Formats: sequence, C-alpha cells, structure tokens
Amino acid sequence: MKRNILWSGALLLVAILLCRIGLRAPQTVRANSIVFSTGAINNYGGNSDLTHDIAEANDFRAWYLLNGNTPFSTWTDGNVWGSDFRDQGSPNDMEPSGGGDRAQVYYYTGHGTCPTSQTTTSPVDFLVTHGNFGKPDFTHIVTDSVWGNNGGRLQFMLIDASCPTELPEITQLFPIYGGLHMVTGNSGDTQHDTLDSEARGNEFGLETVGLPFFFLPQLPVGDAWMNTGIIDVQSQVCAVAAAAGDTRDDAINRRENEFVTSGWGNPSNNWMAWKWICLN
Amino acid sequence: MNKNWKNARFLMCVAAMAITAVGCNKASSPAATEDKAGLTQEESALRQKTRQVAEETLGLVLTGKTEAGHSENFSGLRTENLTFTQRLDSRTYIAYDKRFSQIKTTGMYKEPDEALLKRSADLLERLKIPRNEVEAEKVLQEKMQAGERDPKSGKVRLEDVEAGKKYALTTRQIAGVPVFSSRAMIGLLPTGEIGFLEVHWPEIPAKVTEESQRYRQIVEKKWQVPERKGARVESVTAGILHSPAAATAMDSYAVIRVIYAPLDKRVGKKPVGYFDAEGKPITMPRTLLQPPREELKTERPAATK
Repeated sequence: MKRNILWSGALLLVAILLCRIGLRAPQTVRANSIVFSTGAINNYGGNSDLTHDIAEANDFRAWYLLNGNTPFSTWTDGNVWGSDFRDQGSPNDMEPSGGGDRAQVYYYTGHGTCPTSQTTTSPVDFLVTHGNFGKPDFTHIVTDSVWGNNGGRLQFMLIDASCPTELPEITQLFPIYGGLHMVTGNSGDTQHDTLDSEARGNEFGLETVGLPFFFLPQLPVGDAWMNTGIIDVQSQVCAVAAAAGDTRDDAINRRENEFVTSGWGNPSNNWMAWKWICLN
Repeated sequence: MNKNWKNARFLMCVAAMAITAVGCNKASSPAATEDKAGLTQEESALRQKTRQVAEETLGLVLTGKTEAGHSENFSGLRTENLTFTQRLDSRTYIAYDKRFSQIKTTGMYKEPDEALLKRSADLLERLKIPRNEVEAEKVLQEKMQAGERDPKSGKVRLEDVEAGKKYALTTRQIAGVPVFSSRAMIGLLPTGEIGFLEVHWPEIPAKVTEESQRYRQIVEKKWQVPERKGARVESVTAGILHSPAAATAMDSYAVIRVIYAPLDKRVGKKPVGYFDAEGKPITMPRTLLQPPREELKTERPAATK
C-alpha cells in the first residue's frame, strides 16, 4: 500500500514539475545556437572614460543567453585588446582567450574614431581600446582587420563605436570580409556623433535574436540595426549595415534578410551591399 | 486482495494524471476558473485584449494559425508572418511583419512622407498616446547601395544610391522636458499595413515629471556640472530616463544629462552622464529583473607570443 502511494505521489510530482518547467506561452526551440562574444570598454584610463558600455554589453548578451546561445568571451576594459581585431601579428584575432575571429558574432562597444568632417581621404575607421596587452590600442580596420579567414569564424562584426563605418569611405571595407558576412556601425563626425548608451545595444541585441516566449520578434541584422543604431545619437549620425556577397543579389539578400542564426555559408568579397539611415 | 490493490494503484495513477492534466497551464491565481483551453478567465481576457489591440487598434491582419501567450510582463501573438507583443506594465507595443524585410518579393512603401506621418499619428492616437507629449515627428529615409570590387585592380564599381524603407520616428517630451528613452518608430508595407512598429511610451509618475521640472529650473539657473577627465562639457539637459522597451523592469527617473566631447579630437562616441540635482550619478533604469546568470571571468591571461 505504502509503495503504491509513494509511486502515485512521485508521478504527480514529476507531472507538476514538467508543467512548471514549461512556460504558458508557446516556445520555439532554437535549433541553431550560435557562439558570440562581447567586448566592452568604459575605462580609458581617465581619458574620456565611458559609463554605459559594460552595462550595454551585459544587456546585449542577456538576450543571446536567454535564447540558449553560447558566449565565447565577454571581456571588459583592459581585457579587450587592440590585437583582438587585427589579422596579423601576435597576438591577433585568433588569440585563444578572446580573439575577435573566434566567435560567429562579436559585439564591440567602446570608443572609435571620427573625422572632424565627412571626408573620403583621411583614414578614420578605427576601433580604440585601452588594453592591458595586444598594443597598439588603435586598430584601423580597413588595413588591419580581416575576419572569417584562416580558420576564423566571425560572421557578424557589430560595432558600437561611433564612426568606424564611415559612409564616404565605405568601399574601403572590402578587405575586412575574409568570410565575414556583415558589419554594422555608425557614420558621423565629431560634431555629429553617437552617444554613450545602454539602450542602443540592449535593443539591438534583442532584435537580432528575438525572444519567442515574450513574443519579441527576431529581425534580420540589417533591419535590426536600422532601427536601433540611431538610438542615442546626435543628428546627422547614420546607422550603417554592410554585407558581402558572391554576387550582387547575394550581397543584397544578405543585407536585407540574413539573421545571425541563418546559418548561411561564408560569402566571397566580390560584392558588397550596404544600407544606411540617418537621424535628421 | 491482490486484485483490489491493483485496482487501487490504477485509480491512484489515474487520479494523479487527471490532477496534473487539469493543473497544467493553470494561471497563477488559484481561485480563478478555467475555460476549455485550460486558461483562467484572467488569461483568456488577457489574450482577447491582446488580440483586440492587434486587430482592432493596429489593424494587424492575423491569417492562418495564430499562437498566443504571455510570459512575465509581455503578452503577444504570432502568425506565420506577424509577431506582436505588448507590455502589461507599460504603453509598449512591438509588431513586426516578416514581409517588411523581404523587399524583393514584397516591395517597399512608396507613399509620400506626409502619408506616413499621418498614418503614424493615427496609430499613436489609437494607442492612446497623448498628442501633447509629442516632441517631434520625422521621416527617416533608408538608403541602399551596392558595389563590385575588381579583385585584381581593387577598383570598385559603384551602383547608384537607391531609396530604401521609410520610418516615421516620433520623440517625446512632457511639459517641455524631453523623455530620452521614449519613442515610436513605424514602418509600413507597400499596402499601408504595419511592417514594423515599436511604440515605447510608458506612463511617467507625476513625481518624476515634477522632479524633472525642478531639474530644468536648476539647470537653467546655475548648476555645477560634474567634470570628466579628458573631455569637455558639450551640453546639459534636464529630462526623463526610463527602462527600455525590451525589458522586464520599468523604472523612470528625472535626470540631468551631460554630454561630453572628448578632448582628443580623433576619438568618437561621446561620454554621457546622468546625474541628480546634487551632481551624483543616478542609478540607471533596470532592464531585466532577473538577468541570466553568468560566470564572468575578470582576469584575462597575458598574451603569449
């Protein structure tokens, strides 16, 4: 008798537990989990320190984690190195503890560089770190960065650093696509710049992965950045999303329709298609 | 005797399963009654209300199989193309139609800017967004371009710039004080249906709006601006800051926002501080009440050659 009661009780408990684990809303099982990294810098050694970038990366990451994706590295401040974004030298973007080319998605938030006015001649597409190692801190992505090559797996380089995707010199970005699918960033100048923000990265993170059980939609990366890349920016700043492709149609299709979870193969860098939207 | 025990065991198992079947999907309120789908009256009403906002208020066309549900402070529904969610603790609505991104097959909204602004204003009115809180309404025009690079010469052949999607952006103020975190961003399909909508316009407690007015007066008179090393003060503005649309928390604060410009003219991204009247940094509005747990490493091993 006792054994039967125990069996029934156990069955009841298991069933209740199963019900509790399941949320009331229908969920979509994420079959294609991705590996992602974040690099966030507030501390520039007292030289124009930022305040919100670490919180911004935390928020960005939270949505990815809630979707069952896997972080590769989540470094902050001095643990984010300039070399993480450079293809050559040692260490470089394949550095085992945090190289930028180790994950499929890298979200960088920190300083970049901006020109004093919009120009096509001066090199301005820099990421600016304040690293403990991996010097120098200024990385000119146009000449120093190639992602997705030589065993690298980066598909989406998401840059929240003011101006490292300047529109007047956007065609200089072709070499960064060594297998990379897409880059997002901002274009502006020192008078029209992005602002240190927690909200921008939070919304962008959410929109790139969505959250099915909150019924929060997932958008293609390009569209997600078009409507979040202009949060907390000054007028005339543009959000820019650029995709590489084997052909014209391939590049355009990726710019418009590729999700971080699409699982599409790596493109060549024959073509690039980009779009932008500016806060007027 | 043995047979009786077997019967008893069978009955107990059936009872356990029956209790479980009834208990599954049950609402948090134990006293609530349930409908045929196992939802409480509260849950049914919530789903109905969400559907009403989607269909009647926003005019979303729900075709085919529709999933509905709620979790924490979000209640939403989903069809093959559409996803809609609303927050239960804020005037926050998010809708996205997949076809909005599929411009090759769907096309893009081509009507004049005025038509988009009118439609946006109409939608905001339907969502009961106070008209007197609108700070500015503008159309943001996306642009698109493509280029081919010759791998040998490196020369790039550029195509013409084309017009892309359009968004109507509405920003917010309350009695002349900007609400930095609120906005409405709306894009339409070629048919005029909603393609993308994010309206985040939470009600702000009177205490916060009053405090923001006080902050504005303080800033207008004389306020000791907190300095930041390596940067100069560019602007000082009293305003209101609140939790973002994608959040399970809803905090709102009166703040004084200081935008700094880096002294090193090469450096971009302007530092921003949010302060109270005494010049102390405020606690930022929360995003997730329960962020996912992480084991964050703080020491990165030195680089090896």
